Formats: sequence, C-alpha cells, structure tokens
Amino acid sequence: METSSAADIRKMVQSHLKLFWVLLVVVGANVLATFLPFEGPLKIGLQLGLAVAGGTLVLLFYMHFLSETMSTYMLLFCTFFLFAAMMALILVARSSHPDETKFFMHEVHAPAAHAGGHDVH
Amino acid sequence: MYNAKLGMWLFLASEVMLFGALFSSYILLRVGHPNWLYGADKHLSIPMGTFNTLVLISSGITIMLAWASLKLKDFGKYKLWMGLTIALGILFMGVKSMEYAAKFQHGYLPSTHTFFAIYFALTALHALHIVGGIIVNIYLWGPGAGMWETDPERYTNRVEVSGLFWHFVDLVWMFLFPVLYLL
Repeated sequence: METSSAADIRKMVQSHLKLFWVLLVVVGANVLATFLPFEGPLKIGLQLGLAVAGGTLVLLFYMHFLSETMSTYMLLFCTFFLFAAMMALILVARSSHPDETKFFMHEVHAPAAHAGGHDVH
Repeated sequence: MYNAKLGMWLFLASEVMLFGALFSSYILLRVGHPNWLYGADKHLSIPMGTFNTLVLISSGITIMLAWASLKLKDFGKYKLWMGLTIALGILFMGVKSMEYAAKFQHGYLPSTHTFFAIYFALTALHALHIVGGIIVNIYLWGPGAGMWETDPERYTNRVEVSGLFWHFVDLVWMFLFPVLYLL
C-alpha cells in the first residue's frame, strides 16, 4: 500500500511535469518572437519578459523539488532576478531607442546650437 | 534542513552574485558599445541554442525523477533517470563544443569583438558548471552509489543537493540563452 509521503512525491512529480510543458511553450514563444517583423523596445521587452517567465518557472521547479518550506530563500532569488531583469529591460530598451537622449523624456538642447548663436526655437 | 543543503544554498547564493555581476557587465558593455552585434551578425545558431535549451530543461526533469525514485525506494529507476541526466549533460556539452569549434574555425575569438568576449566568458563559465555537475552525478551514479546500501537517507540527500545545483545551472541557462542568442 502506498504511503502518504509516496503519494506526495508522485503528486510533486506530476506538477513538475506540467511546469516542464509550460516552460517548453515559454521557450518556444521566445524563440518565435525573435522572428517578429519589427525591432525596438517592444520586442526586447517581450523577449526579456519571456526570459524572466522561463526563469521563474525554473524557480518553481525548485519549490517542487524541495520537500520543506524555503519560501524566503526563493523570494530572495526571485527578487534578485526580477530586479536584474528590469534593469536589463530599461538599459537595453534605452540603448535601442532611436533617440536615446529622449528615452526618459528629457529635453536635451544641443550645446553647439547655443554656442553658434543660432536660435533653434 | 541538513548541513549539506544549507551549504548548497549558501554556495548558490554566491553563484547568483557571480553570474549577476557578469550579466551586469554584459548589459553595461552592450549599452556602451558603439557597434554592438545584432541578429545574424552574432553568428550564433538559434536552432542549436534552442536544442541545447530543451536538452538542459529535460535534464532538470530527469534529475528530479531520479531523486523522486530514491524517495520511493526504487533504486533501479533512480539509476535509469540519473544515467539519463548524465547523458543529457554530456549531450549539452557536445553541442556546445560543436558551436565553439565552428566559432574558432571562422575566426570568431574573444578578441574579435566585445560581444564574443562576453559570450565566451559567460558560456564557458556555465559550461564549467555543467562539467562539475556531470562529474558529481557520475560519482553518485557509479562509485558513490554503494552508500544506498549503508546509509540510504544520506545518499538521497546527496542526490537532492546535486539536483539543487543542477537546477541552478538550468536556471542560469534560461537567462543566458535569450540574452545571448535571441536579443
């Protein structure tokens, strides 16, 4: 007769396998997104978002793999990767913006225009 | 919480910082570079990278099944799943070395471009982790398996700790693949 802990293990295996299929879909979507017919911050944001989703799913693997409560550690891991991904998203999106200086809505005046005495207004 | 598991978590925390620093370096180098490589200019094979991603996440499943088999006292299945994990790890390294060989053949070295410098640094460090994981798994599968007879609980814990490490390697690749190959 199957013990309750054996049943728990089997249940864990089943949910792990479900996550595996979701992870495959996320990775596949990210690969397909590479071939979208446009470039720019939106595409980069989409792909980074899918990358973070994939990483989060692997972290959920961890949660299933563990037989005891490790939520705090997991939360710290997730938070670290979330911040890293958000930083990457902003920096990479900014770098690929057609006018990098205006990405954060800053109004930048060209010094040469003022120095040369030409009124650009 | 046993000592080995706590030790592994502390080790993984330091690993997060190591890879985090390298990822940050990648971002800063990419943002600051006047002529960064995009798309086909990177000369990376997306099909090969995708295949390797599938191989690695599959190995994450097999090592979990190996551990679960031990929990269910099925040593035969454990040997099968752990053997498969080792095989998948070796397959990953095989594909990776083919990619490296192609790069070297075409003259793409770390000195060629900043992109290749960070590509080789990140993937080589990741590959070193894979090799380390494979060695430990081979030990647990082969000579170390005798402990199952003498101290099964401790042996199961060793496999679990190895699985934690292997999942981390999996996790790092989940970020490396899109960042290097797709973006």
